[in-house]
Amino acid sequence: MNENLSPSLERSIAKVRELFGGSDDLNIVRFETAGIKCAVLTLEGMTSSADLSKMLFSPLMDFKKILAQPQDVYSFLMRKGIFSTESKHVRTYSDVSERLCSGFAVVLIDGEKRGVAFGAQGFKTRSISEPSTENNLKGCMEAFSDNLKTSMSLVRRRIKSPLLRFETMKAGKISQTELAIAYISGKAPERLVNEVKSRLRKIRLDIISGTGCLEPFLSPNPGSFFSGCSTTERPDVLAAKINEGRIAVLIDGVPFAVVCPALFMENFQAVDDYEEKPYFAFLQRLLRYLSFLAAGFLPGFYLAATIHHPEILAKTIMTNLITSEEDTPFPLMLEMVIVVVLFEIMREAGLRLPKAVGGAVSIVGGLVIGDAAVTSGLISSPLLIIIGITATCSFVLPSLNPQLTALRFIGIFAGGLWGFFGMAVFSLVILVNAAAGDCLSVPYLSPAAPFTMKATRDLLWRVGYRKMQKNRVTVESLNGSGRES
Amino acid sequence: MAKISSGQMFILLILARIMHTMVFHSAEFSVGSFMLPTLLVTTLIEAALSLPVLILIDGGSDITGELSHGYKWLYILLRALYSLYFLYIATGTIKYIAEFMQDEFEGVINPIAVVLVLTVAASYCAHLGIEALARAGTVVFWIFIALFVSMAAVSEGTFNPSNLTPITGSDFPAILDYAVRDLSSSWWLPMLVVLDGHLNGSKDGARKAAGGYLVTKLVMLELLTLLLILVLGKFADILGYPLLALGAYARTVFVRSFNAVNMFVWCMNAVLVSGVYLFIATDGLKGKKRTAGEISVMLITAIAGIFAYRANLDFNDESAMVIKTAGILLLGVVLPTTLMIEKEVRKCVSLLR
Repeated sequence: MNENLSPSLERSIAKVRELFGGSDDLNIVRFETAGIKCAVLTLEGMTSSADLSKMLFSPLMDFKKILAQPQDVYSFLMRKGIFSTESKHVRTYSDVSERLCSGFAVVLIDGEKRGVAFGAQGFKTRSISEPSTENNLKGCMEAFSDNLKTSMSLVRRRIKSPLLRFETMKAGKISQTELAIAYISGKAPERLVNEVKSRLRKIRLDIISGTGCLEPFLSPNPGSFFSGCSTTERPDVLAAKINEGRIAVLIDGVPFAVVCPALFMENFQAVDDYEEKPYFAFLQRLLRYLSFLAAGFLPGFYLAATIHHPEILAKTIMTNLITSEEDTPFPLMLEMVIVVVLFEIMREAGLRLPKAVGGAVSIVGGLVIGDAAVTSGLISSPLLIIIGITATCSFVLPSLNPQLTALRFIGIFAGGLWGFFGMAVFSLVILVNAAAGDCLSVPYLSPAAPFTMKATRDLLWRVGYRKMQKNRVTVESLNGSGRES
Repeated sequence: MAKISSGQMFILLILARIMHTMVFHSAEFSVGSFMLPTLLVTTLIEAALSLPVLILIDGGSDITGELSHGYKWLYILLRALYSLYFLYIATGTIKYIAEFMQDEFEGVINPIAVVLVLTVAASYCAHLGIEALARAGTVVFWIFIALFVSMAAVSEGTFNPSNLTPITGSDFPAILDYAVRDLSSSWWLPMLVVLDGHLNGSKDGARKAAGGYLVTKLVMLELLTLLLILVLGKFADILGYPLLALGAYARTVFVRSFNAVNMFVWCMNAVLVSGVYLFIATDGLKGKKRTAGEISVMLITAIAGIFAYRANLDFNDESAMVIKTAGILLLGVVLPTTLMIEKEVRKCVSLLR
C-alpha cells in the first residue's frame, strides 16, 4: 500500500485496480494532453461529473506545449491551472486509495512518479432536514446532515468566530471515517481537548457506524448505568454546549454529534426552555423531573404498595384496587410484567415501522388490545392506568429511554418481590452508581452532587438572559474530584 | 485518592448517626425528660474527646497511612483494627435493619434475605468509592429533610405538655445508662480519623465537619426526643420503634400511613451508611488486594450478619457497649492523638537538627 507510484501509467493503473480488487465502481478515463498520456481515476458516485468536466477536463484539453514533458503537465495541474479549491499531490498507492475514497479525482501522468488529487466530491447526501428526535416549537429548525462538511458549516454559521475550532481525524481501521472535534478555544480546556483526541486515537474498531461506537471510548465507565456522553442532532444545541466548554465530535455519515462531558441534569433541559419565560421553563422542568420518577419507578412502587404495603394507601383507593384485582386471573406482578413487555413490544414495533403503519400499531395495541384485556378481565384497569401514565412519562425524556426502560423492569422485580425495601435498595444503588459516574473528570450528577452554587442558575430554575450573560458557567468550573462541595 | 469536601463529610457523619438513632428499639431504654439535658452533656463530652484530634489534625492527611513507610507491621495492625471495628458496626447496622423489617414488616422479606441484599448492595456501593457515597449521601440527606418536613406538615399528632415531667433523683440510673449508650454511639470519631485522608486540602475541613456534626446531632436529637416525649409520652416505652410510631401520626388523603415511606428512606440510608463502613473496612488497600479485600469484607459481613440475627446478638448490651466505647477511645482518640503528637515531635526534632 505504501509503495510509490510507478512512472509507468499502465503499471500504476494496474496496481490501483489490483488494490481495489477489480471493483466495478472504479472509473478510469484515459486521455492525452500535449502528447502525454494521462488517466483520471474516480469512484462511481463519489465525484461530480459536471465539476470534473468544468475544472479538470476543459483546462487539460486547452493545455498546449510543444515537446511537453510529464513534469510540465504535473506543474500545470499543481501550480498554474486553478482547478479546484482542494488539490493535493499523491505519491503512494495508499494516497491514491485514500483520496479516491474521500471523493477526490486522481490524475496520473505517464512518466511521472507523482499524481494530483482534486476535490470534486459530488456524492448525493440528504438535504438539511428538521430535527426528528429533538423537536421544538420555537427556534432553529435545522438538524445535522449526514455530510460532515455540511454539519461543520451548520455549527460555523452559528458561531462566526475564529475561536471555534474543528480538528479532523480518522477513526475505524477499515472505514477510515472522518471525525471532526469541535470546541471553542479558550472555553474548552486544552487538557480536555487533548484527552478527547487521545481517546479517539485509541479506537481500534474496524468501522465507525454511529455515535454509539465513540461513546464507550470517550466516557470509559464500564459499570456505569448512565452515559457520560450525550448526543444531539441540533447545531444550535451543540453551539450552546460547546460554549459551556464542552467538546463535540461530529462523524461523517452520521447526523448526530457526540458531546462530552454530559450531565444528568441536561436530560431535563429542552430548547424551548430558553425561548419561554423562566417561570414557564421551571414548570416544564419540574414536569420532566416528575416524569422521570414516574417513568422509572411508578410500576415498582405500585406493586410494592399493593402487594406488600396496602396499609399505605387510603381506604377508598385500596378498596377500589382490591375490587378490580379480584377478577383478574394472574398475580399482580405477572400482570404488570405482561403489560410492560407488551408496551415495549408495541413501542418497538411503532419505531421500526413506517410512520403511517406505526400509528396503526398504537391504535391496535393501545386501544384494541388494552380495552379488550380489561373488558375480558385479563388485566385490571388501575394497572393499565399506571402503565399508561408510565408510558406517557417515558416519552417526555427520549434521551433517557434506555435507562428508564431498564429501571422500570428492575423496579417491577424489586418492588414486587421485596416491597419498599427492595425499592429503597434498588434506588440507592442506582443513585450511587450515577454519583460514581464522570466523564473527563466532570461528575455526572453535578452541579447538584457535588453542589456548585453558580451552576444552579440553569438546573431546575433557569435565570433570565440578562443574568445569564454575566459570568457564564463552564463545565470545567463545576466541582469535581478534589473540589467537592 | 478520591476526595470529599467537609460538607460531604458532615453529611456522612450525620447520616450514620441518623441511621443509628432511627432503629433504636423501645426495649433499649425508656424515654423521658431526663434525656434532654443528658444529650447536652454527652455532646459536650464528645466535643471534649474530639479536641485533641481536631487540634492536631492536618486536613487531608492520612493519619495512619504515614506509618506504612517506616512501620509497616504497625500500619497493618492499625488498619486491621479499624477494619474489624467498622465490620462490627456494619454487622450491627445490618442486623438491626433485618430485625426492624421482621418486627414491623413481617412477611415482606425474609430477614436473612435482608442481610444478604443489604450486604451485597452496600459492598457494591463501597466498591464505587467514597466520592460516590458522599455525593449520593447529599441526596439522601435532602430526602430525609423532605420526609421530616412533609411528615411534620401533615402530622395529626398533638403535643401534651404534661408528658414533660420534671427530672428527679430517681432518674439518675436512667441518665447514666442513656449517657453511656449515647457516648458508645459516637463512632463518628474513628470515622472522621479514617475519612480525613479523603478530605480535600483545607486544613479546617475536619474541624468544620466535626463542629457541624456535633451541633446538628445535638439539635436533631433534642428535637426528636422532645417530639417523642410531647406526642407519645410513656407510650414510647412500649411502641417497638418509637420514631416509626411518631411518623404514624402523619397522614394525607392519599397516604394513610407513613410507616412504609419511613422504612423506604431508612433502608436507603442503611445501604449508604453500611457502604461507608465497608469502604472504611477496605480503605488503604489497592489494586488486586482491594478487590480481594472487598470480596472478603462482603462475605464476612454477610456471614456475621446472618449469625448475629440467628443468635440474636445484642449490639446494645453491656459487652457491646464496652467494645464500641473502647473502639471509640482507642481508634478515635488515643491512637490518632499519639500518632499526631509523634509526627509533631519528629518535625520539631528535624527542625532542631
